[in-house]
Amino acid sequence: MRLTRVLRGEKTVSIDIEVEECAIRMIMFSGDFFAYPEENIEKLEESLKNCRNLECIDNAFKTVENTLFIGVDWETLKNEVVNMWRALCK
Amino acid sequence: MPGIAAMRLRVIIDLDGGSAFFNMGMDEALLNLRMREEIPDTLRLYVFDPSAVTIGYFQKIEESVDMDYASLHGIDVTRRISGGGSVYHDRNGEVTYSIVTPARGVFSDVRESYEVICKGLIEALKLFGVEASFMPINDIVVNGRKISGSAQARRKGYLLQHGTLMYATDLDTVSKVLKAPPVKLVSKGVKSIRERVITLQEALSRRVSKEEVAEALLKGFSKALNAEIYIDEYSENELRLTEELSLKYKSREWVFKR
Repeated sequence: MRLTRVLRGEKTVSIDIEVEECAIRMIMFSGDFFAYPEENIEKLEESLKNCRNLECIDNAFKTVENTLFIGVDWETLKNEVVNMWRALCK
Repeated sequence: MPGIAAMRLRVIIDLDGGSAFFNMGMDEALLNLRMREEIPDTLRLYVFDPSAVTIGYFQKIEESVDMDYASLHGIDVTRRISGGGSVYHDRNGEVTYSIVTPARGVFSDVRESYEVICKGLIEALKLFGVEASFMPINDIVVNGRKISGSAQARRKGYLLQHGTLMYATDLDTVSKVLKAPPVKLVSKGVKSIRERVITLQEALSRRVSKEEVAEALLKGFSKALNAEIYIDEYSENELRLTEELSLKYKSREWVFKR
């Protein structure tokens, strides 16, 4: 099952997520936001792949916690990923 | 000037026009060479020919650009290494700048560095008698409408900031070739991209040339950055590296990455 949500802060961040049997199969962050270093967003997407519990999602965000993210609040982004995962994992 | 240490700034003025693939390749080449301490701090003023769209590193191409319109009208499309939004670079209406420098001092903080560098555009517009202001994080506005946008990429303690100054951009083409997400238009309180932007010509009610704009930008950046400038040309090394990098910017893999 797939879900897309758009967050609007200083910039726009779109989150596309695909969950299968509670495991994140694909996740993509897109939009006109800024992230430094840029490659951390790809690292985050990769780390979130196959996550099937909150601890894994939390750890994935921790691996790139040095990211300066300009768009929406970093916590808001993380909470939205958790909410989307929960919505698809019922 | 308090806060900004005096700097020597090499300037390359390239108003003949290059493709989007060359221009994005050159900007990345300059960042890489500056990072390797092979070149000094460099400001480049340039134009795109043919007209082109560049999209931000994280943008989805199908949500940002009308590819059919671009293809039909000979508008090149590529992806930048910097974030931010999509930009239409009009060959007859826009001058782009790029600067590479270490991310130290006033340039270490991302938000502050945007503001410091964007001051160069504000000073340039002031020379035309246009009062402009910085709108965080990366825009310059005149009468509440965007006239310039910038984006920054950072690598290993060095930054590349590039941005546009629209002096006579065809705003109808902007509204046709760029797709603005509805959520963004609502947040800006406007119905279309056309309502959000303004050109220098529109602000002045007279014709402006790219040479005038480049001259003003040169003076504007010199003042804002407390820089002693000297004019230079591309080196063989820069051109060689650009040729290699432009292949990436032409590739479907890079352009359709998201």
